[in-house]
Amino acid sequence: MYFYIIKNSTDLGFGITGNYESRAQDYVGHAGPRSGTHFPYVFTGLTPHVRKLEKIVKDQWIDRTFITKDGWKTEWLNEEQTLEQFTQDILDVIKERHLKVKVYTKDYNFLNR
Amino acid sequence: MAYPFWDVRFEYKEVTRKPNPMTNINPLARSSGKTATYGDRVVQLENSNKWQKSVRAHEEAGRTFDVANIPKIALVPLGEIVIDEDIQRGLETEHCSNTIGGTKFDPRYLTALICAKSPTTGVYISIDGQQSGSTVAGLISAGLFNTDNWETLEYPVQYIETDDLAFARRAFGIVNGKGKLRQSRYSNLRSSVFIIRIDKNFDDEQDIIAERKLQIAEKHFCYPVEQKSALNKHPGTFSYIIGFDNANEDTLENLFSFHNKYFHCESVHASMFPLFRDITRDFKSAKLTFTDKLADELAGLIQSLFSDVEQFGQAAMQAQKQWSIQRYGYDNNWSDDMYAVVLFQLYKKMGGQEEVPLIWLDKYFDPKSNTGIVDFLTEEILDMAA
Repeated sequence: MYFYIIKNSTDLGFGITGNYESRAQDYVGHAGPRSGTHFPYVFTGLTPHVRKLEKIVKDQWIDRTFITKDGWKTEWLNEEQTLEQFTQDILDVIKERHLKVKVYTKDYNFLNR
Repeated sequence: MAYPFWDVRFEYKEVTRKPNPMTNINPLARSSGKTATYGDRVVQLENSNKWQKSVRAHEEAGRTFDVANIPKIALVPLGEIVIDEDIQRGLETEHCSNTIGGTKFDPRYLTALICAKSPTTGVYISIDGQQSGSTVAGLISAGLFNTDNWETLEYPVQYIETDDLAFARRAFGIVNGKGKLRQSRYSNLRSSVFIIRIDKNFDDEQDIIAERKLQIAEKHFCYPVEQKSALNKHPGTFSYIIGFDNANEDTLENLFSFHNKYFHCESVHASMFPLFRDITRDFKSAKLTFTDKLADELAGLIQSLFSDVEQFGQAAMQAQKQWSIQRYGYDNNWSDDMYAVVLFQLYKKMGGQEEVPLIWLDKYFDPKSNTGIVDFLTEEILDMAA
């Protein structure tokens, strides 16, 4: 299982998947080749641990995520969040909670594979 | 995928404890002292996106409403009210005898009857509240009220005027819960706790027990919260109030102390309630001790393989589903005793040495194939556990 950080020309987000290559292809397919869509970080680990990491980001860091007027909690971050800070916080929480999750690859771009 | 870069051991790794905001904002610690007006509530609604959508939908459909159609209140002699047996269920004598009219009966707890008043005949047809009305009439008939004629007793009635019994049936559905927001279990718990903590009223044993159970939770920094509360994200919170209500004090002591010792940075997952119910009950029945070493090892196992209790619970449910499909050919109903069975079968599979009740190793185990429910955890988990 993989946890990825996604970045395009305007937004920063996250998600989990069993196949990060196919997920990246889907994003590029929807947003277009000039959208700058790529995965600055892909983490991997035991499925329950990856799910836990996602849950921490979604539930406990809810104040940092973009929520629509209807209350839909998206997997995109508020505009004040930076890639550097978000990544560091992810690494910190992996360490603090002893999650069996580690960096798998960096700067994965489906178009450059 | 195999993950050779991690060891899985029984050793629990300490997680740094952080200050829990719930210690200061626990809503059951004290009364909020707040009151609100309907004006405040209107502002709250007007700020809601869903409310705005609903208002727009009424406007677009050209719907407006007549205040004359709001239900009215009247005092109607009980003897003049008829009960339509096609709308209301029959009289439940046990409910009248033991609940409404039981030893805790107090007329101040009674509510108004709900009726449809026929505009053509003027007759009031009861669509809700017959159990209360019948109980009062019965108590008067028994000479227990300071009046001797129940038929002339003017009873408060909330009514709508209609000859349309289909409408009355729909209204009956609404007052009995369909479309109505019922009092939550959390609200009931809060009432019991505030009766003890604020009103200092110790008349009801159930209120005393509820408050005492809450003290156990709070002692271990665990806090009940409403299901959709924003407080849910804080450590130690739980919204599975039915599990809390049904648990005895020994179970809660074991459960919350385990949570606070090992998983203090998480909320309390619902699976902890059946898991510790079984641990508390079955260790006692088997005359075994749930040792500190075993608690440490179980926490280490959960942390290593699943990260937390919630993820363990989900994995156990999946294992049950697969076991059921493989063994019986269909997805059998989930039974919450499987949390303990999966956990302790896994503990033994990984070489755990502490003594545990044998009943869990025999349950959901097929001696012919020498496989148990634990063997239906995902391959990834089983590889790591091997």
